[in-house]
Amino acid sequence: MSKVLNLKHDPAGRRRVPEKYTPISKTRVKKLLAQEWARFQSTTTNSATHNKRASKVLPLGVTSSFQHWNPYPISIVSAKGAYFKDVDGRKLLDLSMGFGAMMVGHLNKDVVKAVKKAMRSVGTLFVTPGPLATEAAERFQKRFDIDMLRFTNSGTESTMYAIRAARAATGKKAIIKIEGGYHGGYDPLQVSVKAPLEKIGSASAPKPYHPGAIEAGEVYVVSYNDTVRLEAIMKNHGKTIAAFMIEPIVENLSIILPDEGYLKAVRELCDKYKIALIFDEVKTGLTAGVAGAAIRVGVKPDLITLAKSIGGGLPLAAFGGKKEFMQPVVDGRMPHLGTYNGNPLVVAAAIAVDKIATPEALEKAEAINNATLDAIDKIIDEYALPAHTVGFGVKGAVIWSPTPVRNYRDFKATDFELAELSWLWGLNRGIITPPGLDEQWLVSFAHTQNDMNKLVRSFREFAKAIRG
Amino acid sequence: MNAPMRFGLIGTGRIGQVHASSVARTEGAELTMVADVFVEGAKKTAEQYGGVATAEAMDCFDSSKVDAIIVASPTPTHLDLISAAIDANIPILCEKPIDLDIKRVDAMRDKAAKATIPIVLGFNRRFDPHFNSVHQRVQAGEIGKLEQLVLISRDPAPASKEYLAVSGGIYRDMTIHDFDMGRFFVPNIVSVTANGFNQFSSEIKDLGDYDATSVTLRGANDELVLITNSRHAIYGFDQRMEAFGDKGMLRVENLTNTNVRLYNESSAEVKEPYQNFFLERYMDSYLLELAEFMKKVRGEASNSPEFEDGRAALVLANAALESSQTGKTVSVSL
Repeated sequence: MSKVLNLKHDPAGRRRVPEKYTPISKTRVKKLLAQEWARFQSTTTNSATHNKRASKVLPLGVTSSFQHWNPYPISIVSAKGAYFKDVDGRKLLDLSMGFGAMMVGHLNKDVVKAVKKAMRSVGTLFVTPGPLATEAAERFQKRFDIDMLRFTNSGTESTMYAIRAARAATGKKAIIKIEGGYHGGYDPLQVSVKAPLEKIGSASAPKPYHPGAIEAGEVYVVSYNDTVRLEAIMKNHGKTIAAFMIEPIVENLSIILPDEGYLKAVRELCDKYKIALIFDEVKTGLTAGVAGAAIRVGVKPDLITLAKSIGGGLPLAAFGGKKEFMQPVVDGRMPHLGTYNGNPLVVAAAIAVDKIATPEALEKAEAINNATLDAIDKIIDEYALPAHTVGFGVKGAVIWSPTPVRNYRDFKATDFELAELSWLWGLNRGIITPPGLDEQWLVSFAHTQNDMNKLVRSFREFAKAIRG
Repeated sequence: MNAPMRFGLIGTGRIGQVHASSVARTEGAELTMVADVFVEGAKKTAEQYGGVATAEAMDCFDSSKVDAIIVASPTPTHLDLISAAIDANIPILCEKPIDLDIKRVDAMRDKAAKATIPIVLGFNRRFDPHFNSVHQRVQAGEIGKLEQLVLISRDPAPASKEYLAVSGGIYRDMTIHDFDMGRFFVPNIVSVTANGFNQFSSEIKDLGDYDATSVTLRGANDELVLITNSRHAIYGFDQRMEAFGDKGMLRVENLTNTNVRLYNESSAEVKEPYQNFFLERYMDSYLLELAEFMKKVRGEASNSPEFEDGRAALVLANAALESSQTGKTVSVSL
C-alpha cells in the first residue's frame, strides 16, 4: 500500500490528507445520526407533507431519482443567488447548485436578462438553424479548443451521442468505462455505476456489473488510475473497442483526482490501440477551470461531453471534438437529432454564461474554494479526524477516509456513516450539499467567503460533536 | 483577495462608537449598516466609519447587506435582537448584560442552543492582553492548581443617576464583568456569598442599590473567587487581579498611559494617574474581542464567550443580590 500512497496526484487538483488521526466512536456516530434524523423530521414537516402528495403522482415524489432520499427530501420553492427557500420557510445555503449546473448562481441576472430578451424578441423554438446557436457554438469551440460540436438537452444525450460518434468513426462497437463512473442513463454507461462489491471481482480485474433493466452490449470496466489493467483490456480486445469513456477528474465518487501522469498515459494507450478517448466533462466543464478539465490537465481527448455548468441552469448540453470524430455527423454515418437542440432560450443562456465565466470570475470562486478547504483542513487537524479534503477548480469535498481515494474500491471503503452524518448535520443547519454521499460542494459565482464560512462553522461544530 | 466581513451595528452610543471604531480599524472588516432609533447618531457614525444609516434595527438583519451584527443598544433590546439574528441566520456579537431578567433569558435558552449562528457576548475583559495572559499562564500550569482568584474593580466615579436607575443594579451592571472574569478562570461556580454596602452615595442608596460590594464565589473544586467592587475610586479606574496557586501567583496591576516616573522633594517614583476609565483601559480588548468574534464567524478556533456565558453571569448577579439581601450563601447550578 505504501507505494500507492506515495503516488502524486495531478498538480491541477488539490488534496490534503492528515498526518495523524484517531478513529471516531461508532456508538457516538449512531447516536448522533438518530438525533439528527429526529431533528430533520421535526423541522421539515412541510417537506414531509409535500413528499406524500408528490409521491402519489411522481415515483418517489421526485422528478429524478437522484433527488430522493429516505425518509423524504427537502422541497424547495425558490432559489436566488446562493440560497434556497424551502416549503418550511427556511433559507438554506445551496452548495449543491444543481450538481454544478448553477455555477453562475441561481437566477443570475445576466442569464435571466439574456433569456428574457430571447423570449421577448427572438422566439423559443425554430427547428431551423439560427445565428444565436452558431454564436454559442463558436464561443465554446474557442473556449474548449474543439473542432466541432453539437448541442443536446442533457448530459445523457451527450454521452450517448459521443459513444455513437466514436463507434461510427472507428467502426468498432465495444466501450471501456471506469468502475463506479457515472455518465448518465445510456445503457452501456449504466454498467458498474454503483456496483455491489460482492459481485465485481477483484480491484485489479473488475468484473462488469450489469443492472437488470439495461441492455449494454460489450462493455469493459477498469479501475480509475489503473493503466496496467487498461492496457491489458486494450491489448486483448482493442480490435472491438471503439471508445474509452472517462471523467478526467471523477466527480461522481466525491472527487477523485488522477494520479500524476495517468491521463497522459491513458491518451497514449488510446492512440496506440486506436480507441477514441472521450472525456466526460458534464460535471467538470467550467467548474474545473476556464477551459474545462482537459485543458487544465493538458490532455486532449478525441471527444468531449459538456453540460451543467455551460447552460446557466437551463437544459443545455453538448458533445464535440476533433474533426474526424465529428465527421460521422457531417456525412450521415451518425445522425444527431433533437427537436429542442440548441433552441434560442438555452443558447442565449449559454452565450451569457460564456461572457460571465471569465478567468477572473473563476479564479475568484476558486480562491474562495481553496480558502474554505484550508479552513476545513485546519479543523481536521485540530480534531484529528479520519478525513481529508479534495478540491478541483470551484468544487471541494471532505472524504471520510484518512488516506487518499484513487478509485471506486477506495471510495467504497470510506466511512459512509460519517459521510451521512456530516451531510445531515449541515442539512439541519441550513446548508444543503447534494443528496448523494458521492457528491461535492460547489462555490458558484454567487457564493462569498462569508457564505462558505457557514460551511466551515458547521464543520467545526460537527467535529466537536463527533469527538464528544 | 477575500471580500471583507460586513458588519451591521445596532446602537451608536458610547459603546457603539467603540465597536464602530474597532470595525473600521480591523483589516478584513467593514461597517455596512448602522442602526439607531436616534437616527442622527446612526448618520454621524456612518459618516465617520462607513455604512448606511437607518433608524430601524431590523434593516440590519439582511444577509445581502451584512455578514455579522454587533449589538450595542440598550439592554432591554438585547434578547429580541439575538432572536432576530437567529431567525435571519446572521452571527451576532451582543453587548453585556444579556438581559436583566433571567426568566426572559431562560425563555430564549433553547432557541439559542439550537441556533446555528455564533451568538457571542461582549465580555471584552477576557481579551484584555494582561488578564488574558494570566489566563493563558494559569492554563499552562505556571502557578500549579488555581486556588484563589482575587478581582478588584473600582470605577473612578458613579455613572449618572439616570443611567444608574435603569442599570439593573451594581451586580448586573458592574460586577457582571467580574462574574464573567471569575467564570473565565473557574467556569463551574457552585455558590455565591455577597455583601452589599452603602458607603458614600445617598443617590445610589435612594435607588435601592449598593455603591460597593464584596462577593465570594465558590468553584466546584473549592476554588475561591473574591470580588471587591466600588462605584468610586479617587485615584482612577482600579482594575487589578491576582491568580494564586500552589506553585505561585500571577498579578496584574493598574495601568498608566506612560511609564514616566516623577521624582521630587516630596516623593519618588511617582506615576501619573491610572487610565481614567474603560475606554482607555480596555480599548485593546475591544479590538481583540472583535478579532476573536470574526474567527468564530469564519469557523476558526475561537474563545469568544457565548450565550450560556451571558446567562451564567446573570445567574451569578441574581444570586449575589439575593445573598446581599438575605445574608445567606446562595447555591447556583449553571
